[in-house]
Amino acid sequence: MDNMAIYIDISKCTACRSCQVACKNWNQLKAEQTQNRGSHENPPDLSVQTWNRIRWIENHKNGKISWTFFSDRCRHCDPPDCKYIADTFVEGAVIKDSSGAVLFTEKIKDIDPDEILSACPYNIPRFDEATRMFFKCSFCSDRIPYGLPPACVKACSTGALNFGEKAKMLQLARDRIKQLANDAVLYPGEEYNTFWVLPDKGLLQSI
Amino acid sequence: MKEITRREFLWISGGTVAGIALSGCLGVDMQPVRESVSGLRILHARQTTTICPYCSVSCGIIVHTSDGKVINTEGDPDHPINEGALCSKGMSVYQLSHNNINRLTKPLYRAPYATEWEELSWDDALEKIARRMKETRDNTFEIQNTKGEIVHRTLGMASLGSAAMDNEECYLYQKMLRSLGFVYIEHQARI
Repeated sequence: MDNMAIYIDISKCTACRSCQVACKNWNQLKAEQTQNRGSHENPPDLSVQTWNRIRWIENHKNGKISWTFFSDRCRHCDPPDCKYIADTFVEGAVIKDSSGAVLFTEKIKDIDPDEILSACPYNIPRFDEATRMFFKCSFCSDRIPYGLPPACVKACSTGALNFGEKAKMLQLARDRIKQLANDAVLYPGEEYNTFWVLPDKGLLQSI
Repeated sequence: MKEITRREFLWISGGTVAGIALSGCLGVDMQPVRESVSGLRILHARQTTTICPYCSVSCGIIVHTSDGKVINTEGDPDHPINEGALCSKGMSVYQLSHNNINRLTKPLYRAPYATEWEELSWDDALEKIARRMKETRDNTFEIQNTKGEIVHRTLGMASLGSAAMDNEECYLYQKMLRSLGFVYIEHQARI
């Protein structure tokens, strides 16, 4: 199978959070008790039940406030640091499938949770005490072999989320960066199967 | 033999190819956390199209059912309005089905000034509603307004909703309301 990728153009995101709900719907994840924390951002953090989440980043520039919506989730690194660390303990606890998804298997129970938590540079996996397992975005690896895009990408109505062969997605991202000009950058980089185009490189400090 | 639709055929053949490719190149125990490449949980589900009940955009939705139960809902890629996309509310119509543990299954009634809800049977609830509508209509029905024009209306009642009714149901509903003389007829989609 081709190496696939999710390309996220955050300049098109309106924070409708359809991707959040789609993720919960497809993966049968429960809702969380939320509360007003002085922000529209909810739930407050990624969790065992929330695998992707829109972060509302406030920008203060020239006395004006604007919002940037950043869909936070697993980057599906290529190569993944978590797999590198996990393999030193238990082979096959973290696997990378042919579509490019980084997936945790049952074997992850045999590894000290702190090792996995500290292995991720982006603070993505969440530990579940009850099952002793880690949870995070699965790239909808059960949908991809059937020709279906990940649930979040399918649900996106503005075209902020895109899914396809990695080469094509990178091309789309590069074209978009040219279009946005000046300060637009690719985040985190090309060695990832989920990447973002940030309209302003100043955002790198906030993410 | 079970008839296989074109869409199912594509899914089955795609899954088989991917399965062979995966088993060939990965010499590891393939047991990802909750997911399994061997099965898409909606693969053999029945697909029915419907229209999102929430707003006047009316996006298309595919409902996947298995043994008469809703197992998944997602945007209909063939629908000209949304082309597979949905907003966060439309994405959650799955919860309108039996899957929602908070869904009410019996009418609830709260008497004036009471603080608790009590359960009613459907017969009692309908009887109560019909009686009150009749009483209110009888008391507030106007044949003429203050200018002497013939209006045949009641200003004593209003209708709001319903968000979960489709276009045809709304049409019948407002027809019934107008026949009773309602003037204040509103729908969630306009709010």
